[in-house]
Order: sequence, then C-alpha cells, then structure tokens
Amino acid sequence: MIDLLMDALEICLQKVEQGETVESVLSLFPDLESELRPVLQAALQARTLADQSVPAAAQRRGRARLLSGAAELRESQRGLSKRTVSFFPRMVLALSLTAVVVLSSTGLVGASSNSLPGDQLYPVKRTWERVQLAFVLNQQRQDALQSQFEQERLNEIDELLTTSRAQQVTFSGVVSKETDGRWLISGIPVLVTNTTHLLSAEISSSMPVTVTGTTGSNGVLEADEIESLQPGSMLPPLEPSHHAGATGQSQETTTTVAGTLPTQFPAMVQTPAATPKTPQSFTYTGVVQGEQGTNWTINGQSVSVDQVEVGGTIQVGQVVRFGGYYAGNGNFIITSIESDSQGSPSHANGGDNSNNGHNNNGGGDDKGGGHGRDDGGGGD
Amino acid sequence: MTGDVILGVNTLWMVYCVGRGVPIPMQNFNERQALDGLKNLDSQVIGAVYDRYFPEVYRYVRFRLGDEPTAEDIASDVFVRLLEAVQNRRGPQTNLKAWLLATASHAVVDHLRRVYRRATESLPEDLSDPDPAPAELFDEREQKRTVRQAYARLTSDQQHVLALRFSQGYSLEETASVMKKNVNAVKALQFRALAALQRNIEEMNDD
Repeated sequence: MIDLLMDALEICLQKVEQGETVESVLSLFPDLESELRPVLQAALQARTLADQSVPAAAQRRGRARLLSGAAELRESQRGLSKRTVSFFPRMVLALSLTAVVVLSSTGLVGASSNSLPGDQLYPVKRTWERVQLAFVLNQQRQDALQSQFEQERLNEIDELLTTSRAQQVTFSGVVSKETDGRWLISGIPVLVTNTTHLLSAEISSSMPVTVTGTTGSNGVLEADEIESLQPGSMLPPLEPSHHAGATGQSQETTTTVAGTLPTQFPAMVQTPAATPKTPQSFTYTGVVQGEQGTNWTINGQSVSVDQVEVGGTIQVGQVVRFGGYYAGNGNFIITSIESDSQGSPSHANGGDNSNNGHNNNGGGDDKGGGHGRDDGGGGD
Repeated sequence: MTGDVILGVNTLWMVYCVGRGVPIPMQNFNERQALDGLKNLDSQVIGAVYDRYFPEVYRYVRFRLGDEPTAEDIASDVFVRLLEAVQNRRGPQTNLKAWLLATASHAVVDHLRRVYRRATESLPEDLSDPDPAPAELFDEREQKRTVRQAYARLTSDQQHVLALRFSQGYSLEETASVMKKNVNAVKALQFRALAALQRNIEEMNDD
C-alpha cells in the first residue's frame, strides 16, 4: 500500500510538473486521494521556495574568491616544499645527497660497462676509464690498463658491426691486411674509399694507424680518416674478441686469421692478461726487420731489447717469438725473445693462450682483474 | 536533463583542452581528467568546473536557507573545499556533482548549527515592512515564510531530498545518485518529508 502511494505521488508530481492541475492528477487515484492530496499540496508549497535565478554578481564574486583560493594553495605548496628542504640541517642533507650520488654512481659505472659508442652511458664508461688511469701511478700498470682500454675500443666496434649500428668511432690498430680497398686493422674490417682521407703519405701493412670512421650495416667500418702512428704507439694487444665468433670463426681461429697473413705480419697473441696491479705482458711472433744496437724493429714496431739477453743468433728477416710490455712512452720493452723455429705465428703460442686472451677481452668487467699470472716470458 | 548534463560536461572538457592547447574530441571527456586539472590547480579547469556547477550548488543552498548572501558564501566555500579536498586526496573520485551537493548539504548543516548555537540577539522592535506591499503580495510572502519555517523544522535528510527534487528538478534516480541511496529509499524519504512539511505548515497556520 505504502509503495503504491509513493508511486502514485511520483506520477502526480510528474504530471503537475507537466502542467496538469492537482485535481486532475488526483482523479487518477481516487482510492488514494485522501492520502495524496496533503502530500501533493506540500510538494506544491515546497516548489514556492525554489528560485531558478542565479545572481550573476554572486557567481562572479564566488569565482574570484575560488581562483584567489587556488592561487593561495599554489603559493602554500611552493612554501611547503621550501620549508621541507630547510627543515633538515644542511649538513645532514649534504651528506645524504653525497651518499646517494656515490651509491648511484657506482651503479651507474656498473651499468655503463657494457655500453657502446652512442649510448647514453658511454661517456660514463669513458670517464671512469680516465679516472682509473689517473689513479694508477705505476707506469707499467698504467700501460697495462691503457692497453686494456684500447682493446675495449676494438670490442665496442666489433659489437657495433655485429649489431649493424651506425656510429662514428675512432680506434687505433695495426694494418694487417689490405685488399681492394678492404683493410683489416687489428681485426676490424675497414672500407677505404676515394673519400677516405689518408693523412699519411704511405700506409702499408704492419703499420700502426688511427682510424676514424662510421660503422655500417654491412659489417664493415667505412673509414673517413686514417693516420699512421709513430712506431711504438699504444695499441690494443688483440683483435676484437667477439669478431671471430661473429664471422663464424671459432675462438681458436683468432690466431689462425693472423697466421694466414704473410709471415712478416704480426701474429698478435696475448698472453693471459695481467691485472692492473702488474704490467701487462704480451707475447708476439714477428719478423725482425732491423737492428740498431738495443733498438730493433719487429713487425714495423720499435722495440727495445736492452733488458733481455738475446738467446742465440737472431738476424734480420728471422721469425722470432718475443714477450714484453709496453712502456709509458709507447715503446715495447722486450723481456724475452727467441727464435721461432716453427716459423708460423699461428702456432707460436698455441690455442691455450688464445683462449686466455679471449677471456681477457670478454668485456669491461674482466678488465683489470681475474688474471693473476703473467706468461709472456716472466720478465716482470 | 541528461542532455544538459552531457552538454555541460563536454563544454567543461573543451575549456579544459583548449586551455592546454590540446583540442581533444568531446566524446573523450572523462571526469577523472577534470579532477586531475583541479589537482594541478589549473585555473582554466577550476574556472570551468565552477561555472558548470556553481548555479546548481547556489540554488540548492538558497533553497535550504532562503538567504541569498549566505547561499553565496556557502556555495563559493563549497568550491574552495573541493580544491582543498582534491589536494589532500580526499576529493571526489567519480561523481563531482554529487560530491559538491553533499558538501553543500554538510555546509548548510554546519551553518545552521552555528546559528542555533549563537546567542539569540534581541530582535528589533520595529519589524514593520519598510516597503508596504499590496495585501495579496503580503499574503504570499507570509505563506512563503510559513513554508520556509515549516521546511526548516524538517530533518536534514528530509530538507536535503526536497531541495534536490524541487530546487534542482532532479529525477528520483539523480537524487538517489547524489544521496547515495536507492530509489525506493528516496521515494520513502520524499514521502515522509512532504507529509512532515504539510503537518508543520498546518501546525503553524493553526498557531
């Protein structure tokens, strides 16, 4: 009953709203008229309280007040942020920020270790390398570290070529092969075109050079500029460790690549890497191209033999196996040298050394650690 | 009514988008984005929300109190409360209009509580109307005053439901949405409110 009454009231209200009279709508519900009439009359009375007009001035004033309140809120929020900063003692805040910077920097350096040229973190990686060099005072250790970093450049370029990323790079290496404009420089295939600026009059095999160019999608670095370096300049000890694998060659063939070269070209095989705490040693095979006292020329590079007693008779043109380290001035200091009776660079050091060398160049994280023993003649 | 709401909401959204130089199609409006604008204290959005809802809030408060200056104060205060609530993450999540009207209802109750608590000031002795009106107009005013006083005796919920139904012309469904009740509850509340109002009017007329 009560539900019926409320529904009837709603119908009546709607009809009155539409303009019908009270009497006409009540006639629709004769049984409920006595209950509906007072309620409907009350509704009509309540309607008299309604006024649909809204004073424009009141609305304007309210709007201005609201926007003013919003402005105050904005100001209070700015003030709050300032007070929040000044709430902490400055020293505590400074120390906290320093800790955050240090901790985040450590993570940043770690994250940047695998970055490549063109990556956002690459500058962090290079800066960290410079910092490492700056804090190594021992010249031999610094040379070893520098050599590792040069090796890392080769690995980066190799990675860029493997992933077909176009990026301008600069690296140093030794020209090991030159065929129809396609050069192999420390294992990096380099395309030399008519537009390539050769800053030195004559660049030939076994010559150390600095190459500036752009990695391309065809797995070849297009050289923009090639400049020869002075013999004895700091060079990476090995070809990029990933390159052989990327071109379908096994790790053991890294030296085989060099071994396929003419005999007088260097077979650059690295001994197990040194930690930065000890000078990094290298073992090479090569051809003696000149002798002037203790300064010899092997594979186009100037080397010093004043720290080693030359075993046997070694003559110009002879294939030798020699070990040593790079001095700070770029000269290679030989600590051991002997005639390579096999005469084949590819076998001079065997696959074990190749593997060790590969491990050394597996990535930035390996640099400077994990290889606690030097081979290469024990001249350290 | 529904069409008016959609039109108003779309207008609000257009103002919001134009204020950011981003002409977004009207059908993509959602109240969430308008609330985001309020949270960011975006003047364009604040102004648009105010322009859209102030008339409804003002009419509601004036219906409840019958006092224009107070209605103006309370209605504008409701929007300031909206800004503060949004900043404090206590604001509406979906139904902005319902939040505004509910807040207006609370503000009216607070106002009346303060008025009742305040010591009653002695009324001036001369209550004669400074602008004498014809007898018909006088009777109309007297009747309206009686209804106002009868209405003021209703409970807050009863006043609330009648204000929504008769000052805004909301349907049962809209009223139920604002009051967060089901339709049947609103029907019953409305019936009781009107019955009580009629009784109050009769009592006052008898006096």
